[in-house]
Amino acid sequence: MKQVKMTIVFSLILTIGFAQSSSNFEKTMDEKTGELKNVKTEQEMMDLANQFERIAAAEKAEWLPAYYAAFCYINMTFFAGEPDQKDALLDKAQKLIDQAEEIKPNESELLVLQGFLHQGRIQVDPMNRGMQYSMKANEAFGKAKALNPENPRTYYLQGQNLLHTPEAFGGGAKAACPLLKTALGKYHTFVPEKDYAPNWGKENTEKLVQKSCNE
Amino acid sequence: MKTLFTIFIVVCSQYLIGQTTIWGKVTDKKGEPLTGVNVYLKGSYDGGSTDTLGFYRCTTRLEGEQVLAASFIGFETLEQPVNLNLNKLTFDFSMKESYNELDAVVITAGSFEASDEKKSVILKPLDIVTTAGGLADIPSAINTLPGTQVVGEEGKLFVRGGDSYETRTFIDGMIVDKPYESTMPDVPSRGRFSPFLFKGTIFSSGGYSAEYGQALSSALILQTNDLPTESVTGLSLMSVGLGASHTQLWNKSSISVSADYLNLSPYFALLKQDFDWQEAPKGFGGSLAFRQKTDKDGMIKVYGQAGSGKSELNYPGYGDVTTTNNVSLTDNNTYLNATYRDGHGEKLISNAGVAWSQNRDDMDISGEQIRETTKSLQVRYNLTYLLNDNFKVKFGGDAWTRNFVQDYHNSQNIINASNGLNDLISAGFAETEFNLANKFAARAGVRAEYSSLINKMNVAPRISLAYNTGKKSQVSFAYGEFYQSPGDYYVIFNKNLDYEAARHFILNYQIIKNNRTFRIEGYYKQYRNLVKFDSLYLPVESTYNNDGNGYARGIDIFWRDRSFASHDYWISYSYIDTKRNYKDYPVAAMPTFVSNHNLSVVYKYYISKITSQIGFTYRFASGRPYYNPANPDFLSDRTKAYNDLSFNISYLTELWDNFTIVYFSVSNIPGFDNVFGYRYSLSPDSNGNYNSYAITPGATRFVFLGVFISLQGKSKKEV
Repeated sequence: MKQVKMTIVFSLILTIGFAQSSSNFEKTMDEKTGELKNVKTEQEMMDLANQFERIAAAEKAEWLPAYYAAFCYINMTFFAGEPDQKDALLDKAQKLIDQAEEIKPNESELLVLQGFLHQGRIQVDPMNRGMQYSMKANEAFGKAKALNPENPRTYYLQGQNLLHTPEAFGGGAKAACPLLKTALGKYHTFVPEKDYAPNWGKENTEKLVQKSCNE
Repeated sequence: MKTLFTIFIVVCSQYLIGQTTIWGKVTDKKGEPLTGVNVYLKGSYDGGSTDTLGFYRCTTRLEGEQVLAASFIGFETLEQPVNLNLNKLTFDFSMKESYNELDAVVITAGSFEASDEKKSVILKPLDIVTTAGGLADIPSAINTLPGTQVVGEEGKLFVRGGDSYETRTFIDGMIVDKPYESTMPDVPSRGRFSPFLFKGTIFSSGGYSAEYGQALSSALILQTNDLPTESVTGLSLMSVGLGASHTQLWNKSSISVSADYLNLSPYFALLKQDFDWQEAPKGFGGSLAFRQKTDKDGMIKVYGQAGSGKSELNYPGYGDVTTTNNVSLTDNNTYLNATYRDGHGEKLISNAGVAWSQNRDDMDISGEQIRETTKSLQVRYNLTYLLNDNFKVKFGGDAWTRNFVQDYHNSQNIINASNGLNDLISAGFAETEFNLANKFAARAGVRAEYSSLINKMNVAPRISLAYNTGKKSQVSFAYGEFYQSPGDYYVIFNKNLDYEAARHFILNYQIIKNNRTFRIEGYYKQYRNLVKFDSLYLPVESTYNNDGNGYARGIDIFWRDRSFASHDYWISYSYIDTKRNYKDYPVAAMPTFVSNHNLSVVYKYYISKITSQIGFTYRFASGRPYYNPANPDFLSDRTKAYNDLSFNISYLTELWDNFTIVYFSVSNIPGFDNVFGYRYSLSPDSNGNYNSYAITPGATRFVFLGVFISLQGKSKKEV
């Protein structure tokens, strides 16, 4: 009897131990991705980037922490800042994407993020980088689409970019509307694999659809 | 059971109690607080970010010996061993800025680089195309950079007191024998190569690498494009001609073809010209490019172009400017360049190439016929060994063979002369480049050449140093010896001539910060062994020697500000003091192509509302010397100052759903009457006066209108 009790307690302890480790990761990721939705300032974004980076360093088999850290760094470039600083942030994000890609090659979400990063490069110096980085971004989005045609973020980012592209270059509201509508449709059916898996962009897509399709 | 309970408690306690807090302040080396620094216990989730005052707080349940790390973009990561069982857990960090590739010291003395690959370069390839007054001509756009001279009647690059032949053009490392189109006297020439062929341009006004030889003053180093990004067909309709091109892209290879036709007669009929054209310039050309990616690092590139042009002009006679000569010119040129680049493992890169060109100019000056044929073939091989990120060695060699023939027939066909030369220049170089802690960089090399024609050798050492004075600023220094074979026109009459030689010293300071660039460069250049002769007009009877010499010294300043979203401008200013005694100069004097002060202001503005980029370029050059036989003081006369204000606009639009650029440019909007110099009769007229005429542009203004259409259907929109 004692033997049995011992075994039960031990297995209980072990389970708690293991569960603690894996659920701690999941719990933390749930918490942090939740916080990500409510970021208001550059400093909050930096703080989250730091947190995701720490998790990425501790959880060497998980790609999502590096993914989110990169996501934070790219988003930081949309706050005011000097061009050199923005490039430094994007360099950092690129390293994190590369790191995540080693863990999870051929991941549609990572390619979307890669395209997003290239778009960030354009925004630092549109006149000179426009053409070159648009092509790089489109290449990444193309791959993302091939890996998972149901990923709404591909269409959302491409649509958003078209909306901000002059009509002469094939952009404008008219051109962006169908893409954004496709994105919205895919958002409605998209179910993330986990609570903390990438699931951003829907609200913004709704706004952009209104903006581009009602003109 | 008791033991069991104890175990349970011990295990759980780790999760329930024993929280420890570490805190402290993070500053940079100057003591300024850093915000956003990631301070954490390695291998755990536990950590914190510094606030605006530089303070962090890190709460953990870990115990015992751990490592506390501080990391931040642009700074070197710090680590600090901590024992969490101790009481005092305050740790301050003082972080040191890190130098990444972008901030790393680079050798800049003498060189301007336009590239997309590096972020902190001064120019982008697109700048060359969009500079007003540049007319998509590489030399004209480079002419807005410091160190260059306005020489409007030539259109070539004259760098730091050097004649135009002292600047050499290199494509993928290989020398271009005839980089400019052949033109009539005093009609400016254009570069032979389209700026759209190149992904990178380095303009070096001195102190360049031992890889490049046969250039006394300057090297224009062009790197051709890799694989194109898409298949596209292009059409161009211009006020001066027509063109069509097609690029077909496959997975790892591509082929591009182009053809163009140029005819200035409709333009000359519409806008009055000051030159007495008998036949407006006409020409046609074609090109073929092939690219094949062989593996990750391997690339084969082949580029060939051929073209022909013709024009005829009535022009004042050389001996007596009151007479008129009828001058006609037919020019045929073929150029072929093939290179193969590959990596061998991580450490070795090899570059092999062959370039061939042939040029024939047929000139008829009132019945006197001159035919000049130049053939050139160069074979080259280079090996680069990268020991590590901070140390590389490069060495290689090339063999360059040239054949030049000048045939002369006078109008009565009494004199028939043919003079020519064959030369084989064999060259080898070795160079090492190293970098110490991203703070100090050095490049040292030596180049040796042997010319079979003059049967002489030269050895040219070159050294460049750079030192980082701050994260974005640096000081560079360059020294070098440069040799160039004596010009074809002299060496055909005297094979005992020696190399012309120049020695460069350059000191440069540069700061690039937040899209603003400031650069100042001082130089001193000595010339020796320059070719001298007795008479320009009696080439056969003349004696030739290497007794010429000279110097040039000056300051070049460059400022560019790209910190505004849609505005961009740069200003370059050059001051030069130079004298030389060469050619048929009786004494040392400032040569006719030099102005002491040169200024250019280039401004570009993108108006997104009308999807147009407009640009203005203003150029100023102080007066140039000209030869006045009536003035005993040689070359002491000066023209008035040169002024030009050019404008261009590129309008991006769609034509039947095809991406289209409408380009319009006009030079000299205010209509300045520019004079490049004066030419005098060789002897006075019956009244004892020397007659002369002013060398001016062919027209006050040049107006250009072009429509460039990319036919790619709707494919672009679908992305």
